[in-house]
This record gives sequence, C-alpha cells and structure tokens, in this order.
Amino acid sequence: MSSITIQNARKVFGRKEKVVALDDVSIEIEDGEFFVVVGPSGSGKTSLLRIIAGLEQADAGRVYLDEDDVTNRRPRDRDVAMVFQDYALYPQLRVRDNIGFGLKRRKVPKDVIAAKVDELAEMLGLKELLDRRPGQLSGGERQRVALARAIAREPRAFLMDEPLSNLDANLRTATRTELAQLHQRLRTTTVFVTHDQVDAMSLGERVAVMRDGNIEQLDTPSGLYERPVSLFVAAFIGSPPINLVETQVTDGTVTVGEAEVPVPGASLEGRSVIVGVRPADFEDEAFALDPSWPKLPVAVTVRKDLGSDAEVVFAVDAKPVRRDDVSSALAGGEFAEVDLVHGRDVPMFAARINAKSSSRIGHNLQLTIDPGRIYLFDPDSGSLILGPGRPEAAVVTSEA
Amino acid sequence: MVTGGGRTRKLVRDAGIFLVLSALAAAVIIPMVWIVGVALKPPGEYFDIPPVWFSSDSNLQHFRNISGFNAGYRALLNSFIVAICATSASMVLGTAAAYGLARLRRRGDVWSIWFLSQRILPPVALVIPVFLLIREIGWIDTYQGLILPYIAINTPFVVWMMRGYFLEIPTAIEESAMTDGCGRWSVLFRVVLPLVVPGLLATGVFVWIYIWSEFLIGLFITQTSASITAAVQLPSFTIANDVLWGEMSAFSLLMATPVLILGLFIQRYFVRGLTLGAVKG
Ligand SMILES: Nc1ncnc2c1ncn2[C@@H]1O[C@H](COP(=O)(O)OP(=O)(O)OP(=O)(O)O)[C@@H](O)[C@H]1O
Ligand SMILES: [Mg+2]
Repeated sequence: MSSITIQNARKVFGRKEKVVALDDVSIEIEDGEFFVVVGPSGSGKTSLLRIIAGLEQADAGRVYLDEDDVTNRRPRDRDVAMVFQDYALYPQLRVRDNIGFGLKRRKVPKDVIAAKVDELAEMLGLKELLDRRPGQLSGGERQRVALARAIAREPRAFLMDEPLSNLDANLRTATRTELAQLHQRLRTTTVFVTHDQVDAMSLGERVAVMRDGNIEQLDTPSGLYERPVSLFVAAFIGSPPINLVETQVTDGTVTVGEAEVPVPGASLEGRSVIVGVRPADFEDEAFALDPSWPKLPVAVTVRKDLGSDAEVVFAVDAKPVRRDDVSSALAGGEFAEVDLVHGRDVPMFAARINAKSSSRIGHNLQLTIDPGRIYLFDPDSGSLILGPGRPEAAVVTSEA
Repeated sequence: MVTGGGRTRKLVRDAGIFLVLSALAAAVIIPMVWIVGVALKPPGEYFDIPPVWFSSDSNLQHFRNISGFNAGYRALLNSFIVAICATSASMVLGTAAAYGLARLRRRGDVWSIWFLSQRILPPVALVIPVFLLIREIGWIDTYQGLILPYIAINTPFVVWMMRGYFLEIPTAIEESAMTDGCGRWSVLFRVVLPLVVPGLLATGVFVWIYIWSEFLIGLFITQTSASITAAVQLPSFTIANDVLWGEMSAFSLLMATPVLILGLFIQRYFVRGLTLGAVKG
C-alpha cells in the first residue's frame, strides 16, 4: 500500500486536432484512502487513472507511489492493479487462473498461489465458480473475479475505472456495499473513477470532481454537497439535482417562484444571482420545522413515492438557468428541463418531502423552503457566493 | 387454416432447399468418387459405356506406376517441405506484423489494405518478375526458390486475416495483463496468442493449401526431381499422345487427401475465421 502523488499531470491527445484530456492536475492521495474521481463524460477521469497505472504516458508532470518516482516506469513495474469497466478477464483461463495470473507472473510458488486463490474465493463467494471460464459467469460474478484478481497480488493501489457501470441497479447497490466493506478490511489505497455521483458520495472518503481536464473541487462528500465551489459542482452533486433560478437580490430577499427568501448580508443588494435550492431543503408546509419559513405554492405534476420520502415535481414561474456548466454537469442525469405538461419554458423543480404528505398529482401543494440552506451563485463566474456550508451568512464578496 | 397453409409452404420451401443442396453436394462428390474409381480401374475400363463406378478388377497398379514418372513420390515430399516451411515463415512474419498493425493507432487501416492489395494482383502478372529474380539469385530448381516467393505472396494475407482477429481482442485485456506483470512479449505469448488460436489454425491451413496446390510459380521455378512439386507434376502424366488417366487420378487422390483431412479437421474454425477476417479487415 502506498500514497499516490500526481504533480502537474498534463495529457493531450491527437496530432492535428488537439484534445486536452488532462490540463494540469495535481493530487495527493493518502495511503489507505478510498479516493473517488467523478465527473461528466470526457472530463479526463480515465486518462488520469491510466497515467497512474502507466498505461498512458503523461505529456508533462510526475507520478509518485510513496517516495518512488514511477513516471517513467512500465505498468508491470508499478505494482498497481487495475479493475476495468468490462472487467477484462482472460477469456481462455479458468476463474482460478485468472485470479492467480498476477502471482504466477511474479513467480510466486504454486501452493502459495493456490492458498491465496482459495482464500479470496471464500471471501468473495466464488468458491463454486473457480473452474469455470469467464464466458460462463454473470456480470456480477465477473465483477467479483476481477476484484479478486486485483486483490490477489496485494498491489500498492487499486485503480478502478467505472467497475460498477455494467451492473443493474440492485447489484450495483450491493456491490457498492461490498466494495466499502472490502476497503474497510484491506485498507488498500483505492482510486475509484465513476461518472455516477451516488457512487462518489457513498464510497469516497475524498472526492475529486473533474471538469474539462481539471479538478474543479476536491473535498469530502458532504463538503461537496454543502460547500460546492461552483455551479458546476452544485449541479453535479446531489440527486435529484439542485433546483436553479436566476434572479436579483432585492430588499434583502431573492424570489423563487412566489416565495421570498431572505438573504443575509447587505453587500448583495441589487446583485444578479443564481439561486439554488436542493430538493431535500423543501418541505410540505404540514411538516415544516419552522412556521416562519417562506412559502411556495405549487401545482404538483409528478409525484414519486420512494418509501422513506416522496419526490414531487412542479413548474416554477421563474427564469430558467441555461448555462454550459450546468448542462455539462447534468448531461445524462435525470432532469426535467422544461414543463412538458403545460408546454411552457419555465424550470421544473424537484422536491423531497415527507412521505406522509397528502400532495397528489394535479393538486396544489404549499411548500416551504429552509432559508438557511439556499445557495447563491455568481452568474458570471458560476462561483459560490453563499451557501449552507458557510453558516452565519459568511458571504464571499471577492471573486477569489 | 393459416397455420396449416404456413406449414405446407414451409415444407415446400424445405424440400426446395434440400434439392438445391443435394445438387450442389452431388456436383462436389461425384467427381471425387469418379477419381477414386479411375485410380483403381484397369486402363481398358476408363471409358466403358455404360460407365462403371468401381471396376471388379480394382487394384493398386497405378499407385505403383507413379514412382516411374518424373519425380514420382518425391514430388509430394517436395510440396510438403516447401508448404510447411513457407507456411511457418509467413505465419510468423504475418502474425507479428498483424499484431503491430492492430495495435498501432490509426495508421494500421491504410497499411493493411496495402498489404492485401499484394494478394489481389493476378499471379500471372507476378510470375515473370519472380522467375527473373529467382534466376538472378541462382535459386532455380531449389526449395528456397519456391519458399521465398510463397512467403512473399502469403504473408500479406496472413497479416490481413490475423489483424482482424487481433482487433477483436479488447485492449483492456492486454492492459490488464500489463498491470498484472507482463511485458509486451509475455502479453503476446500468454494472453493474446492463446486467444487467436482458431484464427492461427484457419489462416495457417488456408496458406498451406494455397501453397500445396500452387501451380504457376512452381512451373517456372522447378525443373528436376530436386524441387518439382506435386501440383506441377500432376499434368505430366501424359506420354506421347496418351493421357495416363489411372496414374493421374491416383496422384490427384494422393494430393487431395491431406487437404481433405485438414479441411474436415478445422472446418469449424475455417468458416468463422474467414468471415471474421472479412468483417474486421
Ligand atoms: N486515446 C485517445 N485518443 C484521443 N483522444 C482521447 C483518447 N483517450 C481519451 N481521449 C479524449 O480525452 C478526453 C478525456 O477522456 P477520458 O477517457 O479521460 O474521459 P472520461 O472522463 O474517462 O470520460 P468517460 O466518463 O466517458 O469515460 C476526451 O475528450 C476523449 O475524447
Ligand atoms: Mg472513462
């Protein structure tokens, strides 16, 4: 196990048309950390991972495992293990030999390999499958074989490139838990790449959000949620995504539909802002914690009962936010951008409310907004001006 | 009623397909059976009317006679040696090149078409320059004089076929092997080649059969029993103005046997190999 240090990594693909996959990335991943890299498609996550593995040579920058400068080492000499999206098992080898392959290459004695393979098969529930070939396994089983193969070698780090993306929803959740447990047990440094922010939030001790070849923010999951540095991160993290409207601060308040939400800090008066409200920060008036919270009457167009709580979707009479950073963060996400029911160009909001709420589709509902939890962003730079993670109205006035 | 009509139509269609296939099979099998018959018949019965498939006087005399003609059985040995050597060399060279081309970024496409174009040239267009070259080197009537041109002709084909197979292998498998401790060579030998064994077999057999039955270049390069190949010897079973049908048939039979055996042996891979190569090439 090792720490991983990346200094000013840069990678450009293509001769004529240059594609900057990594612009200038520096990270220090601690020994034993579960580090998640998340970002939309094409943001450079895979490139970063491949540079750590040595499968891609960076155009500039250095890679260290602990103190060792491995920048110019071949993949086989770096002693890291990669778990690929489609597992990349050796089709001609039995599960047993797949798991033992790396050890065999490193000239480990046969009986040691056999013992290790048995131990891992026990641990990952693969005992019955050891004599099958990868073609005879289900997706989840292949996934576990790929994990076992990575673990077997006791490498300095695991590098995982979207290892869950070929699994269906249930298996995905189960495997996520397994991965977390495995990491608890082995404490091997893990770099986990995903474009799924649920993976990122549930697995990462720290999460790097990538955008266009740079790290937009590096923080703990709750840090990303509470203190996003930008509109991009705010829109990317959280499911359903944050609700956004563009407005102005007038008389110390911002308007979200018909709700007037007080904003602390006089310095914002008259300023154009983008207001963000997380779905979880709405509540049905009947269950609101504080009767003084601003009210927002809405007409429910969709209600999804999720058991523990309910999600309602409604149109809000406001200026929709159409920006490149938001749409790239939301690409592929489940997000109603227009009001399909009424055919109007207004933003559709989602709210997570108490499951006991009596709201029904087509009926009106009185929602409240927790004023202490709104986010304000600068429309020009997209950076955060004020958010719930900065309690007591710590207002960022400079553009820094 | 609808299903009944459908069933009848299906029956008619199946019968039609059966008839066509039977006709095709007959077209292939009848001449072969006939050759067997002629190879065993005494000369007087070749053209009996009505034709006799198998004579009651069948014997192996024609097979014995073969030794007296030209290079005799030596021609089969020559063919065999030349085909084995040229096939092995083409396979090694072609497979190595194909792997490189399959893993080179971009450029590979252009190159592989260029390689294939070598194979598209009509053999007649090649034979004169090949003859002059080999004569210049002084290799007329030698094994190497045959092997060299056969390698040159078949390597591009191997490249084209094998590249298709290599492209089928996800690069992630190789990268996984590299992080697992393999260098380029052990990736090739331990991971990649085992995966393309069917392709190697199909391609190798194809090349071997091509060389085994190649006539034109053989005709120009060979002169004596030192190098005469079976395909070149086959038409020489004629004396004065008589054709020795029995000996010729016996020899054809001997030539066809290894091809048939190989064909049956790898039939399964063969079709797959050709289509794969075709789609991916
Ligand atoms: N081998 C390559 N040749 C050319 N361009 C490449 C290559 N690999 C990646 N790129 C480009 O570099 C950029 C970053 O790619 P990368 O694969 O790192 O993204 P990613 O974040 O992993 O995306 P995804 O979530 O879709 O896997 C993309 O624009 C991609 O098109
Ligand atoms: Mg990727």
